Amino acid sequence: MNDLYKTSHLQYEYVPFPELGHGSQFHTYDTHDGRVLKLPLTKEETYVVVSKRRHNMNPLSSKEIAPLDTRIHTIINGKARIPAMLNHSFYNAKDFLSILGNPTIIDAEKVLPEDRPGKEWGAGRVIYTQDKLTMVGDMLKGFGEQPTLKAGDISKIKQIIDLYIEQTYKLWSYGYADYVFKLGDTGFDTAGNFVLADLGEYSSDPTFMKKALADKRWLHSIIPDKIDFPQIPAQLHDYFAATLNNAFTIEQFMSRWRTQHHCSSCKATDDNVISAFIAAKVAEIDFVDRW
Amino acid sequence: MTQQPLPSTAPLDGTLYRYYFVGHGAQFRVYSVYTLDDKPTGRVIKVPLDFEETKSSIIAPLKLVAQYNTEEELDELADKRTREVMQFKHDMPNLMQGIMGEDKTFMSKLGNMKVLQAPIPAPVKSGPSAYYLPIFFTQDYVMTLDAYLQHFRLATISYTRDLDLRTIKMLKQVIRQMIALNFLIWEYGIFEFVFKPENLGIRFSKHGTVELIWMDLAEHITDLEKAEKIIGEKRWLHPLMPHKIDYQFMPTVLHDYYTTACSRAFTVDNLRKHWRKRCIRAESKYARELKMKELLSYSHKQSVTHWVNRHNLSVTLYRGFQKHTIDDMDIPIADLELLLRDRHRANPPENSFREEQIERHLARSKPLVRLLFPLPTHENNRQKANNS
Repeated sequence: MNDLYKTSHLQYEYVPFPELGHGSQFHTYDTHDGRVLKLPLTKEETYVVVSKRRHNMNPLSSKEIAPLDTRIHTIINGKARIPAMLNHSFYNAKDFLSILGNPTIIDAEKVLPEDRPGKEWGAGRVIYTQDKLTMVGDMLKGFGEQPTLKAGDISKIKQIIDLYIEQTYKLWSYGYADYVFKLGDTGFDTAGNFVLADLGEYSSDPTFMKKALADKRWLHSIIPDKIDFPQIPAQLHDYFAATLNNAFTIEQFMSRWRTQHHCSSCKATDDNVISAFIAAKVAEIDFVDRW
Repeated sequence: MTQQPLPSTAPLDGTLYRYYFVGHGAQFRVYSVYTLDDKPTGRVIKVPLDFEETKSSIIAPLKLVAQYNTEEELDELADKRTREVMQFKHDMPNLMQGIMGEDKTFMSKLGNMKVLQAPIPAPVKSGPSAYYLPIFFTQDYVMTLDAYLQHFRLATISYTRDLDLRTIKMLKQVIRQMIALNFLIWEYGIFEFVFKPENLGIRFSKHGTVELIWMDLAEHITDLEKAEKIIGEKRWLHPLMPHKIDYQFMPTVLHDYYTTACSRAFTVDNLRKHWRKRCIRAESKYARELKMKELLSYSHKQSVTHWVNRHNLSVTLYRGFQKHTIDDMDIPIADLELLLRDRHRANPPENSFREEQIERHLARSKPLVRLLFPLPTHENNRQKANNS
């Protein structure tokens, strides 16, 4: 129903951009032109958001649960990786960006003030605009209050799960992957395209991704304790778990990884020992700061 | 709209307009907007109070109700209350978005409130690219209900005021409209929780009929459970309580009719009956439309999109501004800066306040029951006329 209230007809210079919501990385504002503006949370804001979330997941041992500071560091690192991903010199960049809602980076240095105590962005000084979406997360929250689903609704949620797999595969083929697997962070644009919306939780590191796949993080969407994951209705738990467990295997991942990655910058350094060393070291950092 | 008298305070001369300070609450300073040739535009501009201004406006009533041992404790409480009050202001644009902004009748009952957000360059010391982004509102300039009701002070004493039949009818209409305004916002899932008649405005048509509007709807919640609890507290009786000095004391002549009408209207049953009625109607209407589109879609992709849109109506129907909710007065940035700088204004004196104090005092010193004179009915008046 976004198009009902699209206000691109407004000629006035300053129309308030209402906040549509925020996660742990970005505030999202409606710019009334079919797009949203994403402004990064400061470290302090992130601290507030993250400290409110519970992390009592069974699959993670207490040793594995990262302390709060490390989690914040991870979240900021996720933001810092966005410009490199969006500006990667793909020959078919348009197709790649369309999977992500056609994001466009805005020069943060021109608009964000310098860090000062109590108001720091650190490495996460990233601002971008993106297509406005009808979020799957909002829709799932609505279903949380319904005791049973109609057959038609079940069928539609199954279709969304299938679309999620399809788009995830497409992203893998470009050499990027979402390591959080949050179905709620996807949405539909006005043309009906299924879009992966949350850019701050992607990796281009296959070794790291294999670990993420082994952890089966998508199952957080069917564990009610995970309050930061919009929950899949109970009637679909079995379908969701079986379908994604089957789709997101290391074998499936490896068979698709970078198959469509055609760019002007990677090839020259593919065999470069130093590049490989740097990639390995960076991956090592990922292991430390993400898990 | 009735022509309002030119306010008596010294005006601020802007680039296109002249601004007369007419008063302030805890959220905004209000200025009536005139042309530079002193012709009324019929609109006011509401200028947001900053933290210090808000704090200084809430501290006096807070002192009377808060429990504290030291000045530091009071200061801490005041800071907390100030933040709460300021937050209400930030929620105000929500009242003008989506289906609410689209409903012109509803917007008219909000005094045709329009939003005006402008980046104001911050002082040089904050850096060259620093801005404030205050949200102003413009609204129809109407008489406050409070000012109107001052005309009926001490009307229970026939030597001070004489109420004719037409006035009595009008006063009853005013009270009925106060109730109707609350029902209206309940139907959009909004609950104003202070029940202050001061938050309402009144305008008169050429035919002498009255129309009440919401002048200030900042203090609202959208949680039905909390609203039901507040209904239980009967806060609408606060204007009748002489010790409630944060409320204007309602003219005694209205007490009986007001109490009866409000107690009958403001019940949990009525709240539930009205709650989100218009929202549900709109959600059902758009859901039906989307369901049709979903069924008639050729592609699976479109069908899923319509289905997702249908299930997100509870979010998306309440977003987005309509053209008529964005201010179109073209008030220059320099004027907005001027208005923002015009801090620490005290409310202009009102002549009728002495009678308000007398009525409050009388209510304090005598048992309340003796003061609950009924609003004179037709028969009372005829009897009175016969006696005289």
